[in-house]
Amino acid sequence: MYQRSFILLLAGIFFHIFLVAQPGSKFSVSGSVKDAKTGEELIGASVYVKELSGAGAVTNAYGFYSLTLPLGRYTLVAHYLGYDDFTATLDSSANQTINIALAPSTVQLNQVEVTATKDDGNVKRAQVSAVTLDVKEMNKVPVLFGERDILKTIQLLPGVMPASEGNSGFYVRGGSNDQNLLLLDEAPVYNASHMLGFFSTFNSDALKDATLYKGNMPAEYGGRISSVLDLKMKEGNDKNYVISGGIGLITSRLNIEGPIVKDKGSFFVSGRTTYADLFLKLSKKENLKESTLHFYDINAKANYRFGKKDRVFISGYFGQDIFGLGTRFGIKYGNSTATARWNHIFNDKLFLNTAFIFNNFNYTINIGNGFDLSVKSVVQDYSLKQDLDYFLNTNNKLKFGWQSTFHSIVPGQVSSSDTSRLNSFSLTKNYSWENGLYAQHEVTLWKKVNINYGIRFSTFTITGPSDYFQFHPDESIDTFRLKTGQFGKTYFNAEPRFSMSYNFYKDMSFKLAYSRNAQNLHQLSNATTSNPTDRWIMSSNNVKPQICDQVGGGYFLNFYKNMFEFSVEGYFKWMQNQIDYKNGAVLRANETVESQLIYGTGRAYGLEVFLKKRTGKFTGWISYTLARSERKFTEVNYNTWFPSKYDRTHDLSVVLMYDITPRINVSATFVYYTGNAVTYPSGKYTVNGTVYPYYGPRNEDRMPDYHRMDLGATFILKKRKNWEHDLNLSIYNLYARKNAYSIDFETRDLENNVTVATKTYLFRIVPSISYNFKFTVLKKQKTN
Amino acid sequence: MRSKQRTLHLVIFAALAAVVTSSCTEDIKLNLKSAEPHLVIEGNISNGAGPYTVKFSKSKAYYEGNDFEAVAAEYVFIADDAGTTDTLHEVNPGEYQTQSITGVPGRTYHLQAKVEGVVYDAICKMPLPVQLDSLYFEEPGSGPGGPGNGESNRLRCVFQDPAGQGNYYRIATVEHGAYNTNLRIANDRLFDGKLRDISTRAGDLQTGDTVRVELWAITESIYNYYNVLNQNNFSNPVNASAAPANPTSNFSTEVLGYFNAYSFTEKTVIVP
Repeated sequence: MYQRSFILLLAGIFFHIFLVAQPGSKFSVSGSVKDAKTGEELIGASVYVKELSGAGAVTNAYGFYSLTLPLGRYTLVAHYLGYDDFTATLDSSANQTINIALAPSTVQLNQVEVTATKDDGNVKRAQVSAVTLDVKEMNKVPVLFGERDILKTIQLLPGVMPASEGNSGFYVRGGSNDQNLLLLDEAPVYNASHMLGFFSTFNSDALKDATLYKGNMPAEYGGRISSVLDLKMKEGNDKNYVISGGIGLITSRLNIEGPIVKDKGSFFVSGRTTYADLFLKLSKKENLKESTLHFYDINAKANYRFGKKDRVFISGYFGQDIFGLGTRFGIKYGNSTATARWNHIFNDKLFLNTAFIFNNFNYTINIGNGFDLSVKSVVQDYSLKQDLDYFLNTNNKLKFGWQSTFHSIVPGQVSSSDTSRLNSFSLTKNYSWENGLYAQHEVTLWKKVNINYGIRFSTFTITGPSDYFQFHPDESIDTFRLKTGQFGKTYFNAEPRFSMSYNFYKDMSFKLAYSRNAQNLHQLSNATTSNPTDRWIMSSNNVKPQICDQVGGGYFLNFYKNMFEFSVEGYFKWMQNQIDYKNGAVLRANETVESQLIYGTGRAYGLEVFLKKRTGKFTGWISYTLARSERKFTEVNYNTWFPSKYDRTHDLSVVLMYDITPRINVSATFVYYTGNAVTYPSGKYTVNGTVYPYYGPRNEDRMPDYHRMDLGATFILKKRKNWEHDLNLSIYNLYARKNAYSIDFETRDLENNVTVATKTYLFRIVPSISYNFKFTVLKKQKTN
Repeated sequence: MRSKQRTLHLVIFAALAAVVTSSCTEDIKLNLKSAEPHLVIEGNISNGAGPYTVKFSKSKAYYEGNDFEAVAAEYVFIADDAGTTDTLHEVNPGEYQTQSITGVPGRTYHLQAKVEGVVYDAICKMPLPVQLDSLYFEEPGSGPGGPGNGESNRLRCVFQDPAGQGNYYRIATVEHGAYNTNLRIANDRLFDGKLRDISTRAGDLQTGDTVRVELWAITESIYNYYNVLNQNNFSNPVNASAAPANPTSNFSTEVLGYFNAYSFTEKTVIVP
């Protein structure tokens, strides 16, 4: 049935192309849009002709645009907020390439407001539930320990909630952390945390663009059911060498970028390291002094243009965390990613991106005196993909592509020394092959309706060499083995999606959307805090792919000449094959971990309100979410719906930024959310001479409500053409609220054998300071 | 391992906190729900000398005192698969003792009790005992427990695990004439067939004190029960779950508690 609908869809698309693509009466103009100063491509810049309303294009992820127009003379305009408009006269004699360089706007001398969308693109596009984050704006938001962190900033958006205080893990619309796909230059990052979650792996100095899809992801993305965060690293300045960096309380950063060959290629390298363990040395406790606590990461990228039609990018990330408690316990973990990409422009209308992607996440735990036992785990992917952008005409854009990924998971390899009294053993490795094929069509009808529809077909096949298990109701287990290259259970999913917007007026629209997504990699986490050692498993003969259907809609309005942006969005999600654990489940070092799992369904729904002031001295936003997230398992709460760990009724974020002078900027944030659903004891009883808590139904209680206010200020000390530096101050948790991080229950013998509840809070008031600089080696400009 | 990570989290807080502030703990008054009192049955039988005890009590609200209400049973008996049935008699309120039955490893035991009109049944097969070979005190600080675990009360119990998986253990220490309530449990999933030494932490001991250590062979269901009790332990939760729940009883009718038929071997050591 799905095949049939896909064929119909393809047929429709080709028919459409056939109808519209009649040569002769039209010509096209294409090229790239760049920042004139740095040479960085601008993503999402709008290019249009003045004479035809509605004839416009938006640059793609590589800054490429294409416009097809009827013969005639036009004025071509390129527009990007925070930059001066570019205008040129177009002669229709032939197809042509126009590469556009936009100069940063001189009206606002500093702190340029870059909203990486066409001013009213948020209203017009059919895409719902997507937010493009402004990396520069992000730098103004006050942060914990002065560490700018994209994953903390997105938690201030509607529908996105922090996993816990100060944690870079996040939940989107009632989904779990492992349902978020985090892409760094198209490579998935399996564990985006440093220091067990206090900081993210993404160094904001190295980021150029960030887009978050909270649902209804375009068909090019697959593999996760909650959200996609698509991060793109900077290309590097292709005109001048620039050295920049910063010194903070916890980390220091250094970035070097510059041209490989001027205007042809550039590189960017960024390194970051922490010295948090210096503070441990100050500790009076001997065991803290002996501990290590360290992380570092490196981002590197280079690109080069071969002629006018080809461009190659190579980028990578490497990061590592190292912890140790004396000589008895240590954890090392880290991610590495590598992406090699080739952009090819076939002609004015057809753009191809080919990417080879590698990513690896691994950890090693060392236990025992002199580490006589070690546990090692690896999650690794190799992936090849191609994406084709076909700019048919100004009203039709097509995107096709495929992706093929080979996954391998080493769940746990225990090696013990001869003196250890544990057996060395290795959990069976798992291998799988995942494929995706998609097509997507963006069409504008009657200038008022934008429709974006598409479908992604995904397959997931387990393969060997690996053992798989069959569990029987009588608790017996059959083992079967797949050899190398032998395929086992295969899951096929058709993931259609559709979204449309209807523009009542220029700046107001209604949108509707539906999408289905499937997920074949699942992370098992049964602790109150998430850990890098939480185990990843694949879909198998026992574990079925998680499937999510989401419908959503919204009202979008820009007013005061796009100075304000307002939206209300609603969504409803149905989730199948959600995973939970049996009571007392053993997840670690367990060969048959799948026997510990239970499967159920989930649903989540909510309403998100967002108001943003985008330009002027005073900017900021208010976001509010009213939501519910529930799960149902036969084995839990007598098969009734119960609130999930990700359920928070109210979530409010207020972010305010004000430019007092061109050199001084202040900011404030306020965050409030309902505590998550937890299970507290509803009584107690005694066995084995000890008092134990009695638990009622799961998640019928709530953590105390969370709220916090932060302040920040940036002082630009100097801003010259070749040298600038600034000082950033922030105060986290201004009114020193003791927000509960965890609640523990304990018996206290001293006071009459009573049981009490205690809360642990992490931070009271945390002031911090950081210093940032940027030095540009200006070459003498040759006059063109 | 999970508790190590908890420690790690705390070390990270400590390091970050050392900069300007400190993480802290304080009492909080929560508005907790009050569940109806539930019956708790705790029965034990072993290959040691009788009499064996079965206790009945009720759960109570969280913020009340720790004096638990004893419950009377209409009758209690323990029967084995060799045809012996022993009716227990009340020795203290809610506490019943056997009169003649003796636990034999390999036999299956059946406990039945009628309380407040409801009949409760549990069946448990007593595993074969595993010989506790030797016992010694660890050198302070040599254990795998990480820094700060340099106490001198860590005992190592050495035994040979029988080949074939499916052996479950509790190491119970008897100090100053009473069982230490610490539930030190193990299964042979990772050390099947090996000579194993498991460390356990005794309570406050002085040089010259006598400690008796019993190596209990327990069933899988009792192991799982103890495992969840440890997760739920107030003072020192082990692998605490984000979604805690009550342990699954081996009684056929829903009730809190368990019926444990275990066998043991023992050794005694004097604190050096």
